[in-house]
Amino acid sequence: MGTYILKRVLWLIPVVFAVSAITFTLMHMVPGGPWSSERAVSPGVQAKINKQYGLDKPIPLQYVDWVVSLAQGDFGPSFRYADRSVNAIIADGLPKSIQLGVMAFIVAVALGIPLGVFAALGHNKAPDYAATGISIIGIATPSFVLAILLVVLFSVVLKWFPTGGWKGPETWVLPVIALAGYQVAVIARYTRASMLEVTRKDYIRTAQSKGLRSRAVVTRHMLRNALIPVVTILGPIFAFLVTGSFIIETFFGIPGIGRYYVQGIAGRDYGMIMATTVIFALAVAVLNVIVDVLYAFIDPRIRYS
Amino acid sequence: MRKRLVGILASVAVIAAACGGATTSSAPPASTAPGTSTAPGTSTAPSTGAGLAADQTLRIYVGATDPRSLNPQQASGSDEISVLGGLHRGLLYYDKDLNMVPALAEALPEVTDGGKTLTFKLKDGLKYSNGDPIVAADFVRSFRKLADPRAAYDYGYEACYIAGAKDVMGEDFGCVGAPTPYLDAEAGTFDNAVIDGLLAKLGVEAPDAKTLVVRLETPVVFINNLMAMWISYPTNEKNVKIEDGYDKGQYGEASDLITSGPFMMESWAHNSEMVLVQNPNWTAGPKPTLTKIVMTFGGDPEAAVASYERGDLDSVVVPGTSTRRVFEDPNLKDQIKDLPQLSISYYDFATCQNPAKCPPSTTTADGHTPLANKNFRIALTRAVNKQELIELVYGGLGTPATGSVMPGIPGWPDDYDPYSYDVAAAQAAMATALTELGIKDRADDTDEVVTVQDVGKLKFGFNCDAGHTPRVNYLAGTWRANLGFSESQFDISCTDFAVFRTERREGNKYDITRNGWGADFPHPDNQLRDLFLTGVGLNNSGYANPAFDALIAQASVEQDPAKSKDLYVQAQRLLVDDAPVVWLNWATTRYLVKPYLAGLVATASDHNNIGDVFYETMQILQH
Repeated sequence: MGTYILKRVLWLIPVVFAVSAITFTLMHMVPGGPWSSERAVSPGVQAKINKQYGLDKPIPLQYVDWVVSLAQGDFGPSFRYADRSVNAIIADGLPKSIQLGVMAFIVAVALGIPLGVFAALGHNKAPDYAATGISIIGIATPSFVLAILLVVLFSVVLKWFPTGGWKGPETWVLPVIALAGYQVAVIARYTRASMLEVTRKDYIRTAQSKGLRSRAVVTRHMLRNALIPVVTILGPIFAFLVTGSFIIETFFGIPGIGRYYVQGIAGRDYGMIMATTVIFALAVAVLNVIVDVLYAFIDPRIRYS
Repeated sequence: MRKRLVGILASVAVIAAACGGATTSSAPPASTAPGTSTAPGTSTAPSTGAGLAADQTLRIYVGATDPRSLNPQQASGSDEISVLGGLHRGLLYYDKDLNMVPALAEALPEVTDGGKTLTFKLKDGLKYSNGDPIVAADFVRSFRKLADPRAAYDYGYEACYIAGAKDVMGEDFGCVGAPTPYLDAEAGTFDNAVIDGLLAKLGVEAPDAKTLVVRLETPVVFINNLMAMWISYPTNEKNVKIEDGYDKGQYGEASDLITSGPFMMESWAHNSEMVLVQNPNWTAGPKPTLTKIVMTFGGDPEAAVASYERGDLDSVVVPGTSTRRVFEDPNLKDQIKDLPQLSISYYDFATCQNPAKCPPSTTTADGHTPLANKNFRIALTRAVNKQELIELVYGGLGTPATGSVMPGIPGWPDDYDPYSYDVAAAQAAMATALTELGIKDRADDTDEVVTVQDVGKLKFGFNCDAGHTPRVNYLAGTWRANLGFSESQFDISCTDFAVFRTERREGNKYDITRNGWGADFPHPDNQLRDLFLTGVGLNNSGYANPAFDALIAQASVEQDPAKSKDLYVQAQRLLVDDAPVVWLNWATTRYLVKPYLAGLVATASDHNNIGDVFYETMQILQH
């Protein structure tokens, strides 16, 4: 098991390199650059900015510079925010995105899995229809629509919560619900489908005919087996949630790193684009490793050598 | 990932176009009569002690993201300018009618040497937010910072008016008359000792702590406006940070900011909130009533309106998508204030007067775009009903624009409008244009006469995701209806803003290009020279008229204000006659203001919030 984990961790390095190299190339293929401001800047200004950020060097050389800088833990300067480095900006924003993501994840799992189990156990009866209906609405509703509805109802009409910002528990509620909404639905659907498959298995019938109470059957036998496919999707879901959802963070004015994903691209802030991409790739890759390791604990049949 | 795509699609609705240019997005097509229109320079009645709330905190929304830099010489976007305007004052400032008044200086400068030398005397006892005295040398430091080619600030070219600036910056940085003093021109590097030496010879001197002498290359009639701009704010020596041989400045955190104005920054939670408090060392003007200003960042303008409705903001800009909703809401209607702004919407025509900016055509005799013909441009201009355009696609907010200099600038606008809306005249001009252009009837159409449809395709470009689509569609539709263009004749396309800026500047791709402009300072020179002088970077239409250039040059050195204004009027009339662009809308912004916010002095120069040129007059009444 130990060597397996080590191997997977070492594989992270080429994965991140590949992602960063592809991103770097694509980034420079897009027309426009960080210097294109609304005012036409004089050629000297443009040349100076190019030189300052190493943009006059050939692209492979720029990539090498970036890698060397990254090896020293430095994501480089931000082209957009002249007074702050990308490291500082991310150090500021990442904890908030992680906090929001973790809370949304807990809510999504705490609501999604029971909802799915509930639906599966009441299969083709009222509980199933209700839970499935909720799931479908959740999946079909984009998160910003949910966010707007939440704000209109709870913030403007009822005035229970502020419309945005990130200052204390009362500002956490609406963004967490908006962010978790879609994931609750997805997790519920997966859980339900997985549970239904497990229900048909022989060992469940054996347990039931042995006279085990249904709660014991569900928790001890069904749930653990049903969770494997669910755990598979929880990894990427967690990665997505903690690296900052652009829409929710922008809409609620949460100072995380989510906004920098798109703002970096729109403004051609190369340093920021690379940093956010690497963080996201790393998060997904790491979480996939964790998920794979978790399999071994959930399912004793799975052994890694 | 699907979610990411949705995120990107949603984000494009959220990312507004960058600074400069009217970006009021479209309202749904329905006319909206303007709300209570507020003439610039008016104020809501200030209170005198009784009736003031105990908590004098103003809460406003400034922008979706942190300002890019609070280094005054670096700042170029309205977010930065808005924040800096509360934190700093320069030598001069504006009154409620946008006339120049002294701020840190005792009086307007003493002008000698035919307008080429200005002497400022600072008031007594001036101090920064940290208690350091403000001295004339701090202004010398600011101008040297601005004129430093190693810093390469966007607005550095404004320093070109100062004597000696052209030697240290040169042509590559916007100054005419001298080459840029590179050490290695290919690599773009400078010799630090040489540049430092040239900066020391810049025409700004502080003979004593209270006196600043500025020597100019030529007289500049709007030099006082430049002295009030954010680029002229003083720099405390503790903000200096030398890196790579020049001053990069230290402005990243609240504790770094040493400011000269009525407010100072207490805290800065990046991308979230800035808190400004009264500057205890502010002596150059009346003490503000407000004790705190909480500036919120993040979210988007729509969410800000929701925040206002909940009571978390005291005033807010209403984005174009909500102007009608707010007008029709009985709870909000009385809180509306509509204010003209120094900002204008216009569409460039490819005039081909600059041969490098000339799209080709297959149907004209000379192979150039038909927009190169003046009558063609006049036809397009006269076919547009600007009032209807404003009603339909600007939410009814705005004034039909007849030229580049907007109302709100003292003494303007000029009411010269030779190409007013007149469909018959437009059609006549078009007929003339078709003959002059040598357009031939196409063999593959059903008629035997030369019509505008034989001109072929015209490329119409704009930037997506800033609400311009209805306006572009309106214009194309009106030209089809009034001039007879065919359905497919306008090749309308939009691109991402960064790409669009580059294409627009190159000037070879589109025949008609969307454009916009927000004034840097309230003087006609900024609205004429910076946009229409031959060869300037923002002159996307390629307008090149030596008579216009000569008038602008003459107007800017003319010391008699009346004669100077007259020359600017003549220059604009020449420009309007040539119709290189079609001016559409002098923008009006709709604000919502809580009834307990008093003492507001709203001007056409307001940046991101109503009255934010004069935070020091605002008061919160009991509520």
